Amino acid sequence: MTDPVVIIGAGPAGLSCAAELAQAGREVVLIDDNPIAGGQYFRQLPTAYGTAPNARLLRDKTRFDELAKVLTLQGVRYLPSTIAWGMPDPRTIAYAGQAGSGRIRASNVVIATGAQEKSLPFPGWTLPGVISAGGCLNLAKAHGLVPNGRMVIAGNGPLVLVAAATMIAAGAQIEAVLEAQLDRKLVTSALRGLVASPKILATGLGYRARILQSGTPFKTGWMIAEARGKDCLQVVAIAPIGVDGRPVRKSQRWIQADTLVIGYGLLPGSETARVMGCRMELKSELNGVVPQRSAELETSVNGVYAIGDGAGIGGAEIGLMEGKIAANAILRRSSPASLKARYDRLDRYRRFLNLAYATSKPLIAATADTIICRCEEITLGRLAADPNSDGDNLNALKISSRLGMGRCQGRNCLHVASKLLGFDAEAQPAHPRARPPLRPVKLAQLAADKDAGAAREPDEITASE
Amino acid sequence: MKPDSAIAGKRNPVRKADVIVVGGGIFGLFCALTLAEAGTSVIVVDRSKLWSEASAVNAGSLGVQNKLPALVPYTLWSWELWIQLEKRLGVGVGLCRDGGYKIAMTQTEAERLFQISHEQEQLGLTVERLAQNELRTRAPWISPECVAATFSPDDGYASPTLVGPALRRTAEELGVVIVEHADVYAIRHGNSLCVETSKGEFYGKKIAITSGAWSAKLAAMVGVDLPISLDVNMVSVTEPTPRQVIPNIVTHARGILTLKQVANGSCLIGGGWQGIGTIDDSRKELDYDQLVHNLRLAMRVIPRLGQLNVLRSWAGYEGVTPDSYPYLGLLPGHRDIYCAACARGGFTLGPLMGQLLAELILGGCTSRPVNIFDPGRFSNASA
Amino acid sequence: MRQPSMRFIQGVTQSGPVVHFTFEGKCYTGCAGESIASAMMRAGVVALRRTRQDHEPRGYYCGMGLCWECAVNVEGTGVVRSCVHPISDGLAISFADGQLTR
Repeated sequence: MTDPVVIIGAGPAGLSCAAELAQAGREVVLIDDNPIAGGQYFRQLPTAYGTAPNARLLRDKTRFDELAKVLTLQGVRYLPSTIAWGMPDPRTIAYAGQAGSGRIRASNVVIATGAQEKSLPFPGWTLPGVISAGGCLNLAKAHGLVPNGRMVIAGNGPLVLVAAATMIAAGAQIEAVLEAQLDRKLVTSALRGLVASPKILATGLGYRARILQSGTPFKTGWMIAEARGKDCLQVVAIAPIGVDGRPVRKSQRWIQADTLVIGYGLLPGSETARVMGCRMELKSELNGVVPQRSAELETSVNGVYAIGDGAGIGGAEIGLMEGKIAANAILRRSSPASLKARYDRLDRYRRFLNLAYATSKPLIAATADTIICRCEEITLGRLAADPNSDGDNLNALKISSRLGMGRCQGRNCLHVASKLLGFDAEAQPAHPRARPPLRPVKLAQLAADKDAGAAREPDEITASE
Repeated sequence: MKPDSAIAGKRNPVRKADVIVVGGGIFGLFCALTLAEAGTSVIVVDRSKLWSEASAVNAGSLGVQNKLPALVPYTLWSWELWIQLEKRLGVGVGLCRDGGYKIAMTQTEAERLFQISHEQEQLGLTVERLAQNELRTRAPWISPECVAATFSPDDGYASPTLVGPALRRTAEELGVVIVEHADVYAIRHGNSLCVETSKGEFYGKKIAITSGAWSAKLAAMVGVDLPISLDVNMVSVTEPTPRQVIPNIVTHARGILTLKQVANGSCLIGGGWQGIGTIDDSRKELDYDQLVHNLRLAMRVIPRLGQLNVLRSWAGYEGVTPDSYPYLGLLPGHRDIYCAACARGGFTLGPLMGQLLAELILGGCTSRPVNIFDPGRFSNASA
Repeated sequence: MRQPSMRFIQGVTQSGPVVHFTFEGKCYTGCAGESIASAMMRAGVVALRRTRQDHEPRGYYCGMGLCWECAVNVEGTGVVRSCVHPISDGLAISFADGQLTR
């Protein structure tokens, strides 16, 4: 019997891949960190919650319900609240979670681990009340919540519009929405979108219209300069962006706010591909370091595929299509020409859109006293004073400064620290190494690995430190 | 005499010094520091970043109980240097000496444990032998699965990530010149010794090889066969917790476990469980099976560890000599090329080894006997 | 008393039983199925965590389980991400971080 295909991540890409494979009779194991499938785009309310027909939620529940049917199909083993914490070899996945811990032997592995958010540290960004755009969307989608009090939403990219529209729909009181990119640079992308995907463009314009209709001030070319408050957010300084990519403080304005949403773009989450030894490359049109892929979305490691935002930022529609394309490749059949054509069109568009939002200068709002590493409480000033901040080895800087050594495992800080300290972006694909466990896992869950091989105890003479 | 570092900018690096130290780990930096304190000019060259291999990635134990009996006095002497270190460097290095337990999980282990502790005691270790009921009373956080233990107030730990940068800073303040990413291609004799590297040539009157597991390669460049085998030790670290989980360091009667909770509250789990790799392929990867067994054993000894999130596991090289004693002294057949490398437990012994090497280089004799560490001891045997 | 920082969106309904839990010794209530972070924020607790060194308040941030800024300690379970961990009756929750007490 063939080993199952192991899919890591049950977002749009992972679910669509699983559906395609399962319908063709292929066994699938779907591993997901979240307790409920759907990834970020299709995040669902707790099952115990109900919704009235007029609930003020912007969401895509019908499509998710259709997609989620795959979880009940025979031949699909779904492991929620489970972490694929390491890969001893490219055909073996070590998992640990709620339902137990062990190894799965895979015929193919599909990495569908999604995106993470880009940090843009500024003074006060660690205060409670300052939340990320994804965090804001999940307040509504995953928790059914809307913040009380005044909100400011700021960032760079489509997520700013989505967050603003979602919060307006939810009944939030929004004081201002700020997009860092200038409007005139975004107009051409709108025209391109008309050709590539009228549906996506219409959704985007719909969000924008919703913001304008609500009377919320919408500014382009502005960013957050600072946030202040005692124990939680109270005021926010907003400022136009100067030619150096920094806020022009002399033109700043203070706004009272209880919640500040910051969404400075998405990065592909690349740790799983790295730990599996996939060859990585820096692609600015895909928003970061991604595995090299063939047209069939296979990585440099034979039989290992990477799909969705983790392989390049593109959103749910791209993820849904990539899931099908990878599944077809695994099933050794060709994808329908119509799917390929739609994918090629949207793929070109997302690359274009990612570049369209890229500001001419990298945005910087951090000062020497600004925390960069939230877990270890390390400021930019302290990092800059470290002898290993000279830009050639991020691992050495991690060891000497403790940057990225906390529970986020560097996800919040490494990318932004390397940018602020001037590390060579082209060297990024090589480091830092991803280290198992790929997410924090309870020691008891790792120890419970039912498939661990025989112990080889160290030589007795060993007195290692 | 100091190297003219003050006038040497990056474009015109210092090329000459009294001593060229090859390898910026704990042995090399302590040697350089001691030499610089004595007014000797030093250039430290390192194949990559300073402090990036065994010295940096070990779990930081300063254990006496887990040393071979013959090394116990050296470990205690090294501790004297550790105790003064924060004053010497002017900053904290996460030093703690609360004592440690060495546990036994079977009767056989308990007998061996007590027997070795007697030998160690005769060589200077302060140690108490605890039967199971005493251990339960003294350390209820250790699992009842442990049938006996010894306790020594001499055990402790320091933070490798704090020691390295602090050593570097002080050494640089004393004029030590540090050249990173200088891969050594050759060592040549001429008017003075020349170390030829990817960052150019460096000239010195004497050379100290303190390159850990890489020392064999360097010794071979000057015709010396220095037997060194490689361990790839795995270490895991948990999230920091404010709750006291491991009040004292814990080691195992058979040397297969080290446990400690450091100042930030993180718990470190080691014990020499082997990962995968060799120096030649530069791999140092986890062996998932052995990692799981390492964690399982840790949880059997301290059950409360199970609740903590593991944040990272890694593997690091450790060079090992055939008899597990370090190399320290002149390379056989040489009058100006020295070596100090590869102690089982090199982090604990580092300050002393660096100092003794510096003493040899400075005056030719050492404050402690070093004959058992002779780098020529394996080649001499057949000569 | 601080006003709740979050409220349920109009039209989102909870039919499950009310559950009781404590955070740092104080009593709170939540809905069955609700995440710990949701219940705490609805109760007006925004500082879900205090940093180890500077004791600075931190709260819900990324909302997708990556940043661990919302980490809390659940008695008997250990440190969890409050944005994904569901509340249940009788949970005793405390700060995840702080200086190591010797």
